[in-house]
Amino acid sequence: MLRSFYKYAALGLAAVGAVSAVSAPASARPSVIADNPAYITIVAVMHPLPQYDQQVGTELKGLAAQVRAEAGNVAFMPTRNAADNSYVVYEVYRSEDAFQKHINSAHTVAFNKTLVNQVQGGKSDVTKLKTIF
Amino acid sequence: MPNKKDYKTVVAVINALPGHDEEIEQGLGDLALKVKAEPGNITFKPYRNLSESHSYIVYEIYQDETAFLQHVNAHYTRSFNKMLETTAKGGKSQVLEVSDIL
Repeated sequence: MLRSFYKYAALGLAAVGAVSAVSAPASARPSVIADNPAYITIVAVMHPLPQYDQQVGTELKGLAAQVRAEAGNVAFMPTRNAADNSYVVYEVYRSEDAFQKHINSAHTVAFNKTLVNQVQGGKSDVTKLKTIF
Repeated sequence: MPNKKDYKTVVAVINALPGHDEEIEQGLGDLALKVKAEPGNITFKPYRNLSESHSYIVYEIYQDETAFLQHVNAHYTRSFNKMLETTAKGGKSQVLEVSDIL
């Protein structure tokens, strides 16, 4: 139940949950994305080559549906940075094992293969994060 | 009722000057408590960057542009940003304003 709330809120699909989360006192309000020191959080940044700008966005949308269906995924939020035409993805996994399963999944391997010819440097720039609160 | 399409998402990057990590971490902790209490804040998650020393990343979502501007203009945000002038490289955080593509 709790996991379900976090997952849907993170996906922006739990309209009712989101409203109550926003209107509730901060002390009683769960974070939209659960705080858990075991979680693995990364930010991946991609700078598409000009001719692949739209295509990378489309592929990211397809990947999002598959990653969000992974049992170990908590959040996968693909965004666009209009300032430099990059894509920025905020991702949270339940554990290192869940993250490794994501990395080695067929859909992630296929996506990363397409990036080889479509983005600067041939891959996304992945930054691993550690929550400090 | 908040509309997800109106959500304002930012990724803030802070690179600490040598010797100022503790001050920035403490400042982020204090700031987080206050920002999470803002009615228009959806999430505020500060992280240490494991790939780069002395670097911090904050993932933030606000209900809409108005809520974001209220956050930016809040006295505690101004105080935090003032502190960064002497503790962070470039004297401030780098703020990426991004939009959901889904």
